[in-house]
Amino acid sequence: MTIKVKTLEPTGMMDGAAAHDLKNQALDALHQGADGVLLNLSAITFMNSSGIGALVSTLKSVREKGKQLYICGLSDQVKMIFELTKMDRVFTLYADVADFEAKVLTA
Amino acid sequence: MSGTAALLTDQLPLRRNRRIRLRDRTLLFRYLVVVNLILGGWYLHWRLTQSIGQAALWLALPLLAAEIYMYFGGVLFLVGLWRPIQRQVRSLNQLTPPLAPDHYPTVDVFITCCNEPAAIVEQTTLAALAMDYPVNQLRVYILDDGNAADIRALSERLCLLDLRSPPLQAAAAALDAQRNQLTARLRQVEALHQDVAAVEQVLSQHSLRVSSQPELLPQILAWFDQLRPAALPDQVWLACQTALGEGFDNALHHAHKDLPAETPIELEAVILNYGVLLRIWDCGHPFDLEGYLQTHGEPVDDWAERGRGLTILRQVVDDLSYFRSDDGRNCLLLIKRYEPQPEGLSPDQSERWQRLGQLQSLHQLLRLSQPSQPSATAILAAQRQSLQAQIDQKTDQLADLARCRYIARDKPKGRPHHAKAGNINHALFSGETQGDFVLTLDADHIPKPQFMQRVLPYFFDFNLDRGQYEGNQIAFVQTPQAFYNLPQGDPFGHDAHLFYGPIQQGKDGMNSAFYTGTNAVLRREALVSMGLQHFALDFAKDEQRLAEFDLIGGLSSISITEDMNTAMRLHSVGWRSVYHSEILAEGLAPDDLSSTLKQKLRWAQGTIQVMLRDNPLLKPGLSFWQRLQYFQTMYSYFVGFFIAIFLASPIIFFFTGLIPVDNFGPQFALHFVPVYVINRLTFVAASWGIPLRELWRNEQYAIALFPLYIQAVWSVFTNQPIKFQVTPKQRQSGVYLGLVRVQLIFFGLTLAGMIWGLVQLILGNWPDPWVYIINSAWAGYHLALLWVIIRAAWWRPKQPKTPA
Repeated sequence: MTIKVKTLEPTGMMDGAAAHDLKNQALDALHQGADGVLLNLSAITFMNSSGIGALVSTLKSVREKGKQLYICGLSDQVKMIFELTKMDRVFTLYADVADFEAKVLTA
Repeated sequence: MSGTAALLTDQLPLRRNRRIRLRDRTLLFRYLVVVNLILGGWYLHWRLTQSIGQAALWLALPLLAAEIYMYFGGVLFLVGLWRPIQRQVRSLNQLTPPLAPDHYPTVDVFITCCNEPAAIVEQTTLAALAMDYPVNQLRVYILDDGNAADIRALSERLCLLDLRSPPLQAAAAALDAQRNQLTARLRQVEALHQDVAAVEQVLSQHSLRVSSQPELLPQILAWFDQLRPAALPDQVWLACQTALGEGFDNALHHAHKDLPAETPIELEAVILNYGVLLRIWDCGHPFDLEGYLQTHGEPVDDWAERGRGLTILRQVVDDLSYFRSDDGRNCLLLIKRYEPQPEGLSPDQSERWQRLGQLQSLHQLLRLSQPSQPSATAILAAQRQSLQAQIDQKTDQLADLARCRYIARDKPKGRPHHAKAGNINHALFSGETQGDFVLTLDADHIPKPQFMQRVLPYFFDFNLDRGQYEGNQIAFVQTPQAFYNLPQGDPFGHDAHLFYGPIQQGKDGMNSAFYTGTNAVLRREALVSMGLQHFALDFAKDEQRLAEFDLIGGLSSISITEDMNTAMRLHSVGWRSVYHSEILAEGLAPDDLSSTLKQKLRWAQGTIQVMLRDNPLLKPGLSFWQRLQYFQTMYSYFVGFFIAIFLASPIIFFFTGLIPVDNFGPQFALHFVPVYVINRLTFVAASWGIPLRELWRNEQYAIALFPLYIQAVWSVFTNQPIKFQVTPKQRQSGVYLGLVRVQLIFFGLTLAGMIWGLVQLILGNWPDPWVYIINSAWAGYHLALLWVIIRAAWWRPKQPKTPA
């Protein structure tokens, strides 16, 4: 299967404002013809619930366009906040880019 | 108490700001509660075992059921007041230790409106903008669910007005000054660029990179020699050459012993006017030179082939150290100090070398102060980048200074909008709001200047270990709802000092203060994380709900009383709450019967919806006392059915002579009177300080609204579609006798029954006048209760004395 996936690699703190910037980047990528967006969060040092809230809002907008959002590379803190807010049930998560490529691109 | 009063110098005298403190009488109150419960149990026991009206069971059993319901209602109510607390009033700007205004959290004010007149919204918005809070940390959002052109225009006008106000002008001037300062710094830093690059170019000769080959030593010494300043004495130079040679040798034969010959060694010679620094970088394993020197203090054996290097080094230089740098290399640092000897040199020559040494020293200072940067030009570039980022930030802040903003949402047909909860959630997730805290205000609730000052201290605890304030587990702080338009005598019973007094204080004592939708500050983090957890559960059941995420992901939206359910969900995931018993905002109460009834019906329906969809008794995570508090409220709305039974009893007696209670004479009095008296005393103890007139009004409405309670329970249990109706803020005129039909019928029948009974008594058809007297007293009480709502049906405000 060949799908065009744009990878975004945000860094540093992810609060509501940062996640909304990310949302705009993701939507721009889709606008430019990508079929999906992969968020590699391995360089995120800290995330709060507003950041996650904005990610769900991104997921919503991406799905409305009939496209996909993938997330990989959760650090321990980010994983913890995903589990606390039960968001691990809402998003499909991959360990890292390799895991994503193995499971999605070559599937 | 006097200390607190002195602190709050900024408190304006508030007409209706009565402080009801149940806490002052807690012990007496608890004593009365216990007596009350025992006597009530005793009375019920007597009723159950000895006085069920056997003659008319169809009437006697419902009455008994009503009495049992009331008893348990009373138990829940009184136990709920068991531990009232009174919070100490503090102000954010008077905390000890103080909290600097720069560290105040950011606050978003959400003014929720839906088709209210612009004048009302304007008043609230202006008051919100005028709150005593740093201007850069406060934003006021008008959440217009009516999407009305006049409200949008209003917010634009107020935004400009606000921007022109002195505090905003001052904030803008301050930001602009900071930005100018930064811009000037950036220009200066940029101007350095070429010169710094040139300096680095000159100084680049002072470092050399070689591979790990012994035969390179002559080349290294040649490189070193050309760096020698004229004023450096021969002895010193010899020592430096020796040190360099030994250092190179050390890298070759120790650090790089097992490494290939192409492994690089980097040499740096920093030649100053009063000293020489030599750095020799190798790629070997870490080595503890200090420890080695301590254990191998003695000089080596004269005949040994190797091992003299260190001894030599220690003798020829003044300082020697060997350390591991962050990039994984080792550095042998050698420092040799000297006194320059400029004799015999031409001034030109001497000056040239001096300048070079001075340049070196400054360059080294720069490098050593920012060891993470590889070069001076890199430091310069980083500095430029950082300044540019700061300037951009100030520009953003300037552009962001507009504090009054407007948010409206699309409400596509055929999709759920989730009413007020949807309106607030949309604003939370729209990306336009970022505040750490959210103050929710209904369109008509005008906040007082000190609102944020009073409420925010609850959200922070001082961490003694770290010496700073930190956020705690408080999710929201609720303040009372009060009204500035209540007419004389409060014909619609809106004054709620009992609820926003002992009841909320009692709930607060059990960590279950109620959020009532307005005049409360919520922590965004709490709201969003709780909302996400619940959203995840909804999503697991139905993935289609993702489309509604921004309307349901925060505040609860499963009922038309989103406020109560939101608080319950916050409590269930471990957040705490506070009730602050000082009036900090005043709003409009509906002043006609139609609007009043709509509002009360919505509360009743919403509460019962929550009971069916998110029952507190079954919800995981709530404490026993929280369950009790929430359940008590829900339980109380079933009262309508039982009131109907009470109201019907004397009527049935008058027309049929049937008595639902055996022994309706002295025995009854013996059991009923003490229970009634102690019950009243307990209530007086609980509500001490609230005017009797208001308590009587509350009691009247509690009874007279019984058809509405029945309607609410019925509509929810039979799944009728229920709409969130916004309570109108403008008087609806008219006579509403149609709305009180049921009450009118009961009123008429009771009155007719009393007359009919009197006739029977006079005709001598009834042997026992006491039964008639007791029933008439009962009926008279009912008439007094019902009268309030009948009177309210045609109540109108008095015409203002001066026409508008």
